[in-house]
Amino acid sequence: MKKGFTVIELIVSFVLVSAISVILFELIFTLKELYISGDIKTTLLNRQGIMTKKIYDDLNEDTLQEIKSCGVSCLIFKYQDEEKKLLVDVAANTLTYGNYTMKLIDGSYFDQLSFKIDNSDSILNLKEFTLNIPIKSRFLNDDFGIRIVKLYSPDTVTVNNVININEATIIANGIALPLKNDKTITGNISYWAKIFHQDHIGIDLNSNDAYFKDENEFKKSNNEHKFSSLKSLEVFRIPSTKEVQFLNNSNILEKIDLIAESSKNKEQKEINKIKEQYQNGYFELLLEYPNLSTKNYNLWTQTNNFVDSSTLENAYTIDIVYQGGTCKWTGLKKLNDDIEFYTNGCQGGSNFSIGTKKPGSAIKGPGGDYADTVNSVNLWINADVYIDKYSLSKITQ
Amino acid sequence: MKKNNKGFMLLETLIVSTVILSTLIFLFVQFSNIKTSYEISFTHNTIPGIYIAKELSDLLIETENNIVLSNKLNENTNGFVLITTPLYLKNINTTFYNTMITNMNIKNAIYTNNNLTTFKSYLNSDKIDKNIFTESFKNFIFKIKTKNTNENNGRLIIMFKDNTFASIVIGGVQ
Repeated sequence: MKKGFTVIELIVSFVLVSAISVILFELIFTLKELYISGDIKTTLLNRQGIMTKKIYDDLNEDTLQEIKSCGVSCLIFKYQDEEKKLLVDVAANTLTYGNYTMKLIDGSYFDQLSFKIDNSDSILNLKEFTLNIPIKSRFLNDDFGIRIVKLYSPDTVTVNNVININEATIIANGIALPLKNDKTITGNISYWAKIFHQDHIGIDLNSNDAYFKDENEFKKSNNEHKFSSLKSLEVFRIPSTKEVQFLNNSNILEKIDLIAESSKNKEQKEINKIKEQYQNGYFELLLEYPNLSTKNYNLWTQTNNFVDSSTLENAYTIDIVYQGGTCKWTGLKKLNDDIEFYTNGCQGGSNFSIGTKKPGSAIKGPGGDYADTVNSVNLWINADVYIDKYSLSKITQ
Repeated sequence: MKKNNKGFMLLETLIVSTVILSTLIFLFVQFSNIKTSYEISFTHNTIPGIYIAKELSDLLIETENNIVLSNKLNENTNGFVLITTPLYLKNINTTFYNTMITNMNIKNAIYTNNNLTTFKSYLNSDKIDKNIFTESFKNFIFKIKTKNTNENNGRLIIMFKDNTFASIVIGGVQ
């Protein structure tokens, strides 16, 4: 009696089982991919459909009278009977129209926003505006955003998305950040958003307005004396496609193009080192003490998100006025301190704080030739890239 | 000596495996077809596309170009008029129209009769312009349902640059 299998039986079995397994695996992977993309796609398309319908229904059924700007990424649609605000809050990943707010699902994000008005047709006396709010997903290639193209008569409808910088704000996580423009020491005009402010002007140091009670409040607060949208810091990160500038060891301002292969007056090794440091982008920040001087500030770049990071990374100075006393200026980082809650970049010492945690604590200033304590501090962040990418309005000086 | 009758013959194994494999392959092919149809359905009559088609439709009605195009259709044996450019349109500034088409992200816009018979015959013929009527565009057109709509109305069929499509009846029930 023979036991076992013959070789041919074994080979045939293996081949058949392998073929069946491969087919089943293909099926499972396809199903999984289909489920994920289908689920994400359906959700994104639903939201796109709902928002598009809401806007177009109003444009087609109500009498539109005016479209005007209410901020950098904000437009007001004025109809005969009501007004509706269209607001893109990039930091919170929400799009609001009227009383309907759409939150983007995880993995999706806003791309280049635009609002443009095109020339009129002289025969028909019609103009056209195009509102484009692209929404992309990391998992899919398509655009699931809002694209509104509408013809209108300029005799009955005013469309003007120009706004003065004094009235323009960036809404980040629900907080309105004021803007200013300022020439850096290179003479280029840049837009700056005020992302943090704390002052002790006219208030008791022990009052609730004088300090941030916890980390959540430090990251997001809309109080006159303690204003913060540090939670939104990441949306202002400048990608490494731009030029970065800093003071070199000889105190001369240098520019490095993060894309170009080489740069004058710098060795390739050093350029590569800088490019690697900046590969994930960086922040350009401006620290200001209004009561010390309205014109002086510390201007620098760094790559770490200092709100969460206690490690200062790749800080390069551009223009540092406040050098500090015993505590020299380096950059901003989170300080893990049980007594007081602030963020500063000092090595040994406790100057340059931008947030107090303990009742009765004063705001630590630069020290040295300047004051040890100050009554107010502002932190501005460069918003050029943000405005280029997410503006629906034209900002005038 | 007794014969050992345990186990399967090679032939039996082969037959069973062939049957199972065939079934699996058939299921897989059917499933692929379902998947393709499912993906295609996302591109047909998207909501933004329909609203943009309505904007264009309103413009044609307002400028009475729907009548101009209907007359043009009667002269055409192909059953459609290409309105991606304002060549056949009246009372519309060319630059304005071209800018509008660009802003609407339109790749090809067709005006046809809601009775698509002549048009579909053209699509099935050798004379078809394959630069305009890609496979996906043709596929969309053949899926348009005209039941319960007035066949005397015009129809606007649009292919957008992102490979989505939309179609509406001009001035009638959709």
